[in-house]
Amino acid sequence: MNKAKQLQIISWGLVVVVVAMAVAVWWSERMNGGKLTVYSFFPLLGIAAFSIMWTHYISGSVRRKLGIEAKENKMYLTYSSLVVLALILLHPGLLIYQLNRDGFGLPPKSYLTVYAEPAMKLAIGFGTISLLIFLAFEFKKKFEKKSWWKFVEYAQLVAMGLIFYHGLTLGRELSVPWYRAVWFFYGISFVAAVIYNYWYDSSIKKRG
Amino acid sequence: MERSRTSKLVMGILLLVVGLGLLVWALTGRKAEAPASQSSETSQSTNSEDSAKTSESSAETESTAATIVFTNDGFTPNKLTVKTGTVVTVKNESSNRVQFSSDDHPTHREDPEINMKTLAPGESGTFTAKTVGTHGFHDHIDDSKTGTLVVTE
Repeated sequence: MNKAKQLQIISWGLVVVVVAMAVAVWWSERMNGGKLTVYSFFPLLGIAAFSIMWTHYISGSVRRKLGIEAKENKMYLTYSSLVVLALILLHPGLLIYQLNRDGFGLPPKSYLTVYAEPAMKLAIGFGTISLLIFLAFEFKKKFEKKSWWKFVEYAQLVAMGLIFYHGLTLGRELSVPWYRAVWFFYGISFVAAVIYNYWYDSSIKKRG
Repeated sequence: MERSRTSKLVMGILLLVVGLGLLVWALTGRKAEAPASQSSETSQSTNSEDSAKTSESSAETESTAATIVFTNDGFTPNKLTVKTGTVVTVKNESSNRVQFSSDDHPTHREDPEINMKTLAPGESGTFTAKTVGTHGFHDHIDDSKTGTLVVTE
């Protein structure tokens, strides 16, 4: 099996595992007979989005370790990015829709009414900022040659950190001990992957 | 070539959004009306079940008191049965703030009369159980902490 194939299998395998864990923890929290509503469904989309984004960074490290080009994993990057985009739009989209239907109006009013606790307000603010940062990345093709584009890429890292806090503060699933451990594993391995990727890319640049 | 790929991507995103939207719609149905109707159904069924027992329990109409303690592990007891008119005290003995709230999270519209303001560690608050039925509750700040309040006549 060539390295490109190995990378594809690892990348898709990670996606399957992280999504399966997200569904498992979400379902375990919904098995107590409570009814399924939009409010109970939308968190799953956020957890899945963060988890799949995490696989992007990890598979990026694996790719560098295997010494192959990003284009060898293009299908994974293209389709998983599409799924992430749909999830990050639907995650707040469903909440906004249902809060509006329930008479709370639109954000920021609806958010501030429902999530009135200071820590919750902060987490909601972080989520909104992160969404905008993630959406900015969709303009990569148009602007990636610009000198300032690197700041948009750095901002993605900040957004991942903000979402990490957002999930810990607002996510019921993050109170489940085993998944809380998984979440922290995501956080720690994400930082390690970013450092490794940065170090690898810098050393390649130096070598010319 | 590039244009055609962009179109495919846009179509893909649209299909995903529409597909997931339909899935959610199918799974959850029209939930906007659900809290009110479900709450009323719960009360009605409890009323009819309890009506048979009215003669034997009608003497016990005075208000009583009950306490729910919130610790770092959650609510104790996490299932409490009280009579209507009971004053329920919620004590926060945890190290975190707690906001005792009716289901459904995060809007708390199923039984608004039991919703309380946020309690700091060491604080207590009360509400009066008025509506007969089974009421789910949770901590709004950490909605994994849940419980059930059953109010009987």
